[in-house]
Amino acid sequence: MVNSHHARRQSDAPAAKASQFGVYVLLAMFSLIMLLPLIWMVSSSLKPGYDVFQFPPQWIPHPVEWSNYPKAMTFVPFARFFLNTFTIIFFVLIGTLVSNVMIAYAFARLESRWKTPLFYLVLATMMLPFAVTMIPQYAIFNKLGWVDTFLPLIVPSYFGSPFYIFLLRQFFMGIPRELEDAAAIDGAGVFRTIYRLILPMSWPAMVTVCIFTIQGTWNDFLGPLIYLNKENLFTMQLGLQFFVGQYTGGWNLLMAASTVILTPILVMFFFGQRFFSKGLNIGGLKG
Amino acid sequence: MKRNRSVRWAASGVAVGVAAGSLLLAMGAGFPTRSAASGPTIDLTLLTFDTGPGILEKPAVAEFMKLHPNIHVSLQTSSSTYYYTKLLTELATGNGPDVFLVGDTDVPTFVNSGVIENLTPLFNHHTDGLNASKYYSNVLNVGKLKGQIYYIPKDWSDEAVEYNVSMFQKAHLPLPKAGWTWAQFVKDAKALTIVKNGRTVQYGAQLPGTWLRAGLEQFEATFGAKMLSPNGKTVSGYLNSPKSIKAIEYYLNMYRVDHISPTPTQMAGYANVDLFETKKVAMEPTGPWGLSKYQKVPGFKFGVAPMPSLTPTSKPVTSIFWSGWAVNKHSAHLQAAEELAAFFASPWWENEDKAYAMDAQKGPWIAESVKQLPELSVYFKEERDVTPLIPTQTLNWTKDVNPTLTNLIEEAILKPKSSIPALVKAAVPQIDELLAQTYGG
Amino acid sequence: MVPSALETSQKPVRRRGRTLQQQRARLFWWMISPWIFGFLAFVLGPMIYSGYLSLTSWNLLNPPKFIGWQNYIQMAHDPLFWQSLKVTTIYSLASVPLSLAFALFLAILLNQKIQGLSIFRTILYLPSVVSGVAVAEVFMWVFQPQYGLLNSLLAYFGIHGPGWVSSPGWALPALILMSLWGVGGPMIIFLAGLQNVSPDLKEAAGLDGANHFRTFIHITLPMLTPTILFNLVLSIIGQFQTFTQAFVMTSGGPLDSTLFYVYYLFEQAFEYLNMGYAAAMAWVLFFIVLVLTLFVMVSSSKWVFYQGE
Repeated sequence: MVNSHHARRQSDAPAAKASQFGVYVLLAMFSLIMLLPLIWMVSSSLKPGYDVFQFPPQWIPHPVEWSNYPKAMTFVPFARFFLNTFTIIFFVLIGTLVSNVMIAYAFARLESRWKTPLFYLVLATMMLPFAVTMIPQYAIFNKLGWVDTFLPLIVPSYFGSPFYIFLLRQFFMGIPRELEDAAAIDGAGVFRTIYRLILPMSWPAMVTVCIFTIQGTWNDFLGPLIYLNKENLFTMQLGLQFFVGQYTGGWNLLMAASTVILTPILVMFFFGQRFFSKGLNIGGLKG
Repeated sequence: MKRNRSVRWAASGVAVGVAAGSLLLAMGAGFPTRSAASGPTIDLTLLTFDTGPGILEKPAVAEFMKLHPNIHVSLQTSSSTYYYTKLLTELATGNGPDVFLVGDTDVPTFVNSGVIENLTPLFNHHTDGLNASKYYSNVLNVGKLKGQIYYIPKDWSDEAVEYNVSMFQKAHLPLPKAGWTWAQFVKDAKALTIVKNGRTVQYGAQLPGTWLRAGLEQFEATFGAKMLSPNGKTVSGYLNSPKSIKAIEYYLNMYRVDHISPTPTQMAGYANVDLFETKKVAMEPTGPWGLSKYQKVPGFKFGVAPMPSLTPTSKPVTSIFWSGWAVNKHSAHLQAAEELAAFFASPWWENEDKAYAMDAQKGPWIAESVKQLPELSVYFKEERDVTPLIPTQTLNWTKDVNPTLTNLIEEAILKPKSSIPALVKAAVPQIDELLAQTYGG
Repeated sequence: MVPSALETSQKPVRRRGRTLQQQRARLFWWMISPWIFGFLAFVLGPMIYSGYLSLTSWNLLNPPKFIGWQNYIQMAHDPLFWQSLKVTTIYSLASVPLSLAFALFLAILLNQKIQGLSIFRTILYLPSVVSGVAVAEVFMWVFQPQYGLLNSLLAYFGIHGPGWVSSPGWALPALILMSLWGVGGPMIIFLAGLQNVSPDLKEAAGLDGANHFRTFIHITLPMLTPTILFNLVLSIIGQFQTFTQAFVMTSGGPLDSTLFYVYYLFEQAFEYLNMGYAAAMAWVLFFIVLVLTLFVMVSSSKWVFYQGE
């Protein structure tokens, strides 16, 4: 197989090179378009307050106001907010992974008369806008005494989320059944099958779930806004709102804070996305 | 089969264990739990908006707790964008804050639904300096409905025209001063508008666009017109009265005919840019919020003039912007909550507040503020004609009146050939239908 | 705990006789039980309550008053309701296919074996991470008619750009364009889906002399259909609930040209204090989206190919 692959590569090398060049050009172009607004954000974050909105827009800040960053970082207790966000993410991530894998597997592989209607019910829970379910939900968490704790933001993730259930179901259904049957004949139980076969084979999907969970929790604003009151429980996103108030920092500081907030996600994604390819290798075992 | 099952057991055990463990952890160590009220301590919550991380209220709350060791106050803050989402969610579920801040337009909402306490007795009996006569009467009146006081005013502001001195000098125009007229304002603004290659590079003024309070409401008052019947149930015969139409035309033609201001939709394109600060407009009729910021811009020379009047002999008219403290009627500790609200009328608070806003009470602190920022003095001219707040004269201004008028302004400006009397005529039944729903249901 | 439940079953004889199928049916219920519990505890109640609210008049401050179907009747006569439905439908019709096609296209580019892939992936995903106020602020600058990024770029090519968010005719297209900026989410999901396409199959097709395009149409695309289904359904559900752009950027204007359905609903609920009406609007939207989703799901048996089936 390796040989034939090699041979084919050699035979149409110029064509492959040309197409690879095309891919580069396209990627570079789209990357630039995607980056421009972000570059604007970073550039604004380095301008003096009165200079953020000059006409015509200045791309290169002059003078470069590095002090915006320490200012932004000390304007609110950033470390505390970061720790809070991280804590929530940690517990949400565990809950999301454990519950959704299990539920999605059931919907993908097990049989019940009620499976299809139940699955539609799962989807249906996503279709009612938050604005009308928010208040009764708040009432429930209030009754439980969970307001002003992280629990309303964490606990629901332990009971599955329609988004991830659906996502994982799609991936699990794409795994050839014969492999699983073989595993079953080997005497492996369901959880062993999930652990030994399903999870390794849907590695890219698991990485996706992780990325989405982290990003979603990181960016959640309305949940923390409503459920968290004490400032020492605030998340990064709640912290950001302090920059837009009437008496406060200004847009350059907001941009600086937004840039800082972006960085951990960026780093996480940069390393996380490598696992996409790793997944491919493990998946390759099946052959 | 057995082995199979035990593996299942183990796996599920781990799963459940992890879940339970993390939850326990969540409720324990790193996760602060609700501290149950212990002993005689009274727990109060205070909800406020727009003050960054509680810049204003945090020290005030600390001071209050020092004075009242048996009361503990939790301070909640929210950006103004989502303020009512949070406040209403809490109130709707019976978890409302004991004391909360309300913006001017929403004054009647909380009074008419009966969820806030009538504070008139507090004003009559409170001995800690809470005294109606210490307030500018127009400021106190915003929070007064049917003769009863429901709010303790926090801070307020009126309007004045801020202008860029350098631009006036460059155009060899005399600086605006008290006693000037709107005609003069428009004339100056036209002279200060600079168009290059079909592109306006400098506007004579930045008008408030669809912001009714500073725009349409202000002009209605200037022309002595009223938009709304005294009982708040109809605009028919008021909004479309000749005086009112004249006021609306005067305001909108500054956009449509004189082109002295960026239009509201153009302003939307500038997002939150302060065009006065970035030296793109020469004048802006507005509140004093930007002044301390402008002070910090190197080489920025600016001045403040009172609002123009309609004729050289008439008095200038200005709108009012306002927020005040309300006490939740369902507070478990009503007396303590009133105490807390009243603290925002104390000399301590006045002194604290002056660095950020115009406090609602007259006092020696005004002179101090003006000494630091002389331009502020125009805003403090005592006997100025602040117009009564129109939105508080009907039940649900935000729903019934605001959207239609906003669209009227947008449409009139986007289509400069449209007839304003015709637009007003079309708007009247629309607003009246909504008002009828509110009052009928 | 299925195993224990089975062990302590009252009728051990019958248990032994239970078919594999029956056991798996039991297992199904057990495995989805967390969802059922969560649904009953946190979701079902609020859903039913919002249904009840849709039959009431509620200002959030006083107890709700039952008014029957009045909210639904009023909706039929509310021009802003129809406007918001129109805006949202147009937006969804354009942005669902456009953003999915764009996301798929980017994912395919990012699935090539080339140098610097991690950097490209990160860059293209990045925009979907920037959140809230910062996005709004940055994009107002992209769309600023005189000096904005977009019109400056167009002017470079000699095109006089429109007013974008400042113009009633162009505000919605501007937001549709903006939605393409945030396709990082579906792109990642497509990328994950592409990883699952067995390289052996593609290899085999290549040996058969199929070119890239035919390999894509006959091998890659069918194997990607489960992911396409997912992204399609999710973007229908998501785009019909578009809210933030209107809330932080346009406030529904100019002239209600970006009055998104959920934005109008939110205004009704928290600005006009008309929660009953908002709840009624929510349920109308619920049924619209439900019908669309069911249509896609049912039709999926014709075009979605699962390797495991």
